[in-house]
Amino acid sequence: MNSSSLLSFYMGSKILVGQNALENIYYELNQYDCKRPLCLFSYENSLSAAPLRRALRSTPLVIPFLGIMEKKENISDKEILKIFQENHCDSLIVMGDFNLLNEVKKFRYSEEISNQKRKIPLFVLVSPSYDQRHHIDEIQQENTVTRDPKLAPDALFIDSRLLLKSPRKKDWQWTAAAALSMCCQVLSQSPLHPATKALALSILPLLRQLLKESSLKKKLILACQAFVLGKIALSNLPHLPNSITPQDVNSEKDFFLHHQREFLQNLHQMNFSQKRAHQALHLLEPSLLKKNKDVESWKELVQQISSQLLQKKKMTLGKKNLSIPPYFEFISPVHLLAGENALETIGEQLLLKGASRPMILSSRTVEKNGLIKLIQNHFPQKVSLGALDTDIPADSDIETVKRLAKLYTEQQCDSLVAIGGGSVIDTAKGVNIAVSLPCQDFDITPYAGAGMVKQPLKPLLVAPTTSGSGSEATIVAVIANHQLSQKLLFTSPFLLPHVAICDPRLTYSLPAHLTAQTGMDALTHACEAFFCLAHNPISDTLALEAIKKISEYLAIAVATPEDCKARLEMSVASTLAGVAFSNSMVGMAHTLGHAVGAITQIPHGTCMSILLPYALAYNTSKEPHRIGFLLNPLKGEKITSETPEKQRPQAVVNAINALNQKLNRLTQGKHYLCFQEVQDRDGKNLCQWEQLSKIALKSQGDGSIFYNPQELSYKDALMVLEAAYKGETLKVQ
Amino acid sequence: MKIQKNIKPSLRGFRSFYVSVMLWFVGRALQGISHIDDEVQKELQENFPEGVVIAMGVEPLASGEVKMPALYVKKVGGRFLKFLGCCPPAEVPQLTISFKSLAAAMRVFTFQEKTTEAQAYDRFITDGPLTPALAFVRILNRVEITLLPRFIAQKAVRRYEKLPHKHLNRIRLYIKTLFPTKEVL
Repeated sequence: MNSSSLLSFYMGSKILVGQNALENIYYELNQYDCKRPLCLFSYENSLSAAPLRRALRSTPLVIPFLGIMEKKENISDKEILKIFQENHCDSLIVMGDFNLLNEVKKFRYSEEISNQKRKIPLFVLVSPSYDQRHHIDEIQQENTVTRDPKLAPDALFIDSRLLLKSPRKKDWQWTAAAALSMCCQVLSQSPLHPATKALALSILPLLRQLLKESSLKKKLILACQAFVLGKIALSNLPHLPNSITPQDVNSEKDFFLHHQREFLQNLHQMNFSQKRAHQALHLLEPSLLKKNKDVESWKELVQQISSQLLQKKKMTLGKKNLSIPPYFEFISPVHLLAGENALETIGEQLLLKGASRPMILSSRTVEKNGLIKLIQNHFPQKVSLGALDTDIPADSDIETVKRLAKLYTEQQCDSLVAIGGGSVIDTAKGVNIAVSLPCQDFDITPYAGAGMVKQPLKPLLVAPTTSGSGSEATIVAVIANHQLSQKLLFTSPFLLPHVAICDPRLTYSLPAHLTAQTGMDALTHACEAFFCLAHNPISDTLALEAIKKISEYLAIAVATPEDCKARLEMSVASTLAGVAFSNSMVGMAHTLGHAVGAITQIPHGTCMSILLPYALAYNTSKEPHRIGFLLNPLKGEKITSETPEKQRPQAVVNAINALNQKLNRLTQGKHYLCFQEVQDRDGKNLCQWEQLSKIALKSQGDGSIFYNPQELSYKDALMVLEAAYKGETLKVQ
Repeated sequence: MKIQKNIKPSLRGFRSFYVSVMLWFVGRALQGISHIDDEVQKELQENFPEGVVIAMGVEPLASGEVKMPALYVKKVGGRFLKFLGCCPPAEVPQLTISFKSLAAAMRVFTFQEKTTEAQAYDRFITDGPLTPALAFVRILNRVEITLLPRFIAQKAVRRYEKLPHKHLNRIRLYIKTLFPTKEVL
C-alpha cells in the first residue's frame, strides 16, 4: 500500500443476496420507517411482476404498483415525481432497465427531492440486465454523466425468483464475463484501497462456484452478485477507465464482447495477480468462448496466455472452494479513507457532507500531540471549529452525552468529529442521536435497543487512535447509565459513522504492549469473521486481507512504533476486520473473552490474544477447511502449498502461538500467553482458578455464542478456560 | 401514466396457516417441557425473571392492522412456562424473537435451516435482554431434540445431545402438548 496517497473506499448500498431476499423488504422498509413505498417495474421485467407481487403481498403494507407494460413506453422523472406525490409515497422499490433506473435516480437527485430534509430510500431489485451500461452511483442527463455517492440505492436485492423470470436469464455467461472483466480491471489499477481490492477479489470465488453449479437459478444469482460487486469495486477507482462505458457500442452483446477483450488485454498487463486471473480464466474459459463468433481465434489467444502462465508454478492451495451461504446481507456505508496525511482532509470531507461547523471530541493525548491544531489548520475557509472537548471518560455514559449535546446545540454545531478510542467513538455516536432526533433534555434512553434509531443522523467522522476495536465500522454504541447501573446497547445502521479515517500519526503514541493487544484483537475479529457461521463472500476476502496485513506488520509496529507504513497497514487492517466482523459477527473467543473481561478486568485485547488459538482448535472439528485456509494469509502460499490439507488447521494454531510468543519477547513479557500470568500494575494476578466456573457460566449469556460453528456448552467453555488458564494446548480434533 | 393498482396484504395462505399451527404446537410444547425436564427448569430458574412474557412470531408482532402468526409464553411458579396463546396478551412482552418474514419462519419450521443458521443468515431479530434470549433458544433446542426423531432433530440443532430418558420424555411431552392437564394449563 502506498502510504503517501490518500486511498478511499465507499459502498453506499446494502446488498441482500439469496433465497427469499425479497421477503425481507418489509424489514428493510421498517428500518427506514417507510410505510408507503411506490413500486415501479419496467416492461422488460414484467414477467418478474408475479413473484414480486406475491412477495409484496406478504408484507402488511398497501403498496402502489406501477408497471410499464408497453415496450416503447417510457416514464420521465417528472412523471415519477407526480405519481409519488399523488400517492403520498415515502420510498421507492424499483425493478427496471437502464432507462427506468436512470429516471428514478434523476428524480431522487432533482432539486425538489434532494433538498428535502428526509432522503427518499431507494430499493433496487437486481435483474440480469441490471444497470449494465452505467455505474451504480451514476446518472446520465443529456450526454452528461454525473457521479455522486448519494445516487447509490439504499439496498440492492438479488433474489433468485426474480432472476429466473427474467427474459435475459440465459445471459448469465455475459454477466459473469463482465464481472470478471471488471475484477481484472480493478486489480490492474494501483494504488487501490485494500477494501476495493478485497471486493474485486471476492468476485473470483463466486465465479468459480458458478462454474460448478448445474442449476440455472444458482448460476444466475452468483453471476448477478459478482456483477454488482464488480460495479461497486469499479466505482471506487479514482479514475474510471473510459472503456467501461463505451459510447460506440450498439447492442448489449457487443458491450460484453468488449468486456471480454478488455479482460484478456488486462491479463497480459497484469503481473501481480496472474495466478488468480489465470485460475479464473481457466475455469471460465469454456463458457466465455461458447458465444463467440470467432471462436478459433479466441481459443488460440487464450491458449497462448494459458501456456505462458502454466509454465509458472501451479496453484496448490487446494481444490475445494470456500462455501457460499444460501443467503447473506452485507452493509458497509462508511466512507473509508487511509493515508499518511489523511487527517488533513477532515475539513474537505465535512464540506462534502454538507457540514461546516464541527464539534471535535477527542482525548488529551491527541490534543497534546498537536493533531487537533493540525486538523484545524487544514480546515478550508468555509469550515470553522464549533466546539472541542477532550474530557471524555473511559466508560462513555449518559451524563457525558447530555453535557456534550448541550454544548453542541449552544455552539450551533452541525456535525461531529471523533478522534480517539472506543469510548470517544461511542460517546460521539450517543451525542449524534441526542442532537439529531427528538429527545427530552437530550436523554437518549428511549432509543436504546435494536433498530430504534430509524433516521439518518448528523454527519459523523471518526479517526480511531487504536488499531483493534473496529468500532469505526460497527453499528453498535454502548453507553452506560451509572445512576441505574446499566449499560445501554444501541444498534442501528444509522449509527455507522459517515467517514472513517486511518492516519498512522494517530497510533504512534500507542505503547508496544497495547499495540500488540489491539493488533491481536483485530486479528481475532478477522479470523472469527472468516470461520464463524455468518460469513459471506465479501466479509471473507476483507478478513483474509486483514489477516495478511496483521501477520506481516503487527510485529514490525510493535518493534518500531514510528514505522509509518506498519502503523498505517495495521490501522487499515483493523478497519477491514471491523467491516468484516460487523457483517459476519464473531464467535467463541469473544464469548469467553467478554466474560473473562467482565469478571477479572483483564483487558479485552489480552483475552483475545490468549483465546484465539483455543477458538481455532475447538472449532476445527466443524470447520477444518476454513480454519486451514487461514494458513495462506498467515504464512504465505509457499508454506501453505507444502503443508498437507489435513495438517493446516494445526499449523494455523501454531502460527498464532508463534506470533504471540514473538510479541511476548518484543514487549518484554507484557504481552501475556495465558491467564495465570496476567497481572495488574501492582503485580497481583488478575485471574484466579476459582473464577473459571463463574466465567464459563457467564459466557452462556453472550450473544456471540450464536455464531460459533461448534456448540459451546458450559462444560466445553470450562474445559477451554482451564486450558487457557494454564497455557496448555487444546488438541485439534 | 397512472398507478395500475395497490398491492394489498394477503396473509392468509398455507404458509401463514402452517407457521401458526407450528407456533401453537411449540407454545404448548414449551409449557409441557417445563414440567418434565429438570434442565429446562434450571434454565428458567437461573435466567428468567418471574412473570416475564416472551413472544415469538413473524414481523410485525405488535401491528394492530394485521395479525401475524405468534406465540406468547410467561414464566410462572419460579420454574415453569405458561402458554398464553397466539394472540397478544395484556402484558407487554419483555423479550421478542421475531422472524423477518413468513418465508424465513417457514424455512426454520420445515427444518430446512437450523436455529443458529437462521440467526447467522439474519432471518430473525431478537429484542430484549440477551441472557434469557439465549436460554430460550437452548430450551427450544431441547424441545426439538425431545419431540423430533433424531434424523429431523439433527437438522434443527447445532449439536445433537443425548438426553436421559428421551423416549419416555417424548411420550410424556406429546401427551402434555396435545392433551394438557389443568395443572399444566
